[in-house]
Amino acid sequence: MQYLNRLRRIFCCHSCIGLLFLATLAGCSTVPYTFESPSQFKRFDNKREFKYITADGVMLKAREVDNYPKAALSFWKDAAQTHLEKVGYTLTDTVCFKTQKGLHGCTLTFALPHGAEDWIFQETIFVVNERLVLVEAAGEFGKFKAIEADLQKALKTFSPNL
Amino acid sequence: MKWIIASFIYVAFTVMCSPIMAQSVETMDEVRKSPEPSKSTSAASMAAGDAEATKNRLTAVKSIMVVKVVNPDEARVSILNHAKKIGGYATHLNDSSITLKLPPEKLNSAIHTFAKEGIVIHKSIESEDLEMEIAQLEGRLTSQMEILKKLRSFFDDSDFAATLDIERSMGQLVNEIENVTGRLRYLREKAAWCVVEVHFRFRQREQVLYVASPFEWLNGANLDAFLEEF
Repeated sequence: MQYLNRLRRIFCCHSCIGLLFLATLAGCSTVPYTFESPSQFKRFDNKREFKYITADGVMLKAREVDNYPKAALSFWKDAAQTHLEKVGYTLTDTVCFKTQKGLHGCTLTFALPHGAEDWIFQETIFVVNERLVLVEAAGEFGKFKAIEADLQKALKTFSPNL
Repeated sequence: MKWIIASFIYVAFTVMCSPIMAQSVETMDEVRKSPEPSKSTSAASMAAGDAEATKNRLTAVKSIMVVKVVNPDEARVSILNHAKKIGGYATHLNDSSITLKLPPEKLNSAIHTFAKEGIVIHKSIESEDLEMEIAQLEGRLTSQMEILKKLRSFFDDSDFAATLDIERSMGQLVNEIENVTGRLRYLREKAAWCVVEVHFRFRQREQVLYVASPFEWLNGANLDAFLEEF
């Protein structure tokens, strides 16, 4: 009887470790976001990192922050616009849209001087419960303009796997 | 007689050097009719002729636009063509900007057209009132012309020494008149055209500043942080 109990305990313990291991593996392999990127963008190999770049240096990445204080998309859109305009960025466009999976997002596009060039900095905000998912893109004005329409279209395919 | 002429010259110079001589502009016609040295005749007639042109507009308008365009070369050509079409011309051209002079009545439509070339990042219009300065200069010019006319009338009755004095005074007076006329011409030219500067990139003074946000994540939402983390 004791022998059976010991066997059961060992089995449970090993199963838990196995499950944990599998969960970790699954976590590592899960792509954080789903995104059908425009053809001009190439993704960096690291699967946990969501970073794309074009041949001429337009960059795109996503990150998450706490939705704190908890607020709706319009609040964060206004906050981002106010802050970046105060910093000296010039708002050139605002597009609010719904992704294919029904998630609402807003893209703010700013122009700013960067060294000898003028650049575009684009911030797309999605509110997913307690988290804000930010898709940021930047590039030299002319180069960014060349891919802007494709990028905006692709953002509609964006889906965070939270 | 000599004393009369001398005292007249003294009075003439006192008047000439006074900063403002606001007198009626209608005496401009008399100025045109009176026989004067050739230099001042041309200056006066030019001033009188221009007076009518600037009757309605005595402001200098300057507009500055920053328009971001994908192709500055194409935009520059398009803007220049439009400016020519509406009667304007370019005064300065380089890789990142174009400066134009446009007829004032076409300014609004031109700004609207230029804005269509790209994204307007900055737009400003400033207007400088020139009316008072022009009126003051016209007044001074009128007085100086009157004095010149009087001085000329003394020639017939003066002796050699007095003639030399008169001539010296007239020379200085003509110089003054030329200065005033030149300034008037410049101001009228300024009022007759609107200056439009179109920049295709941010100007030097438009720099990005660091401003802290009460929302933590926004402090990291900027180009520098983006590039650093990428």
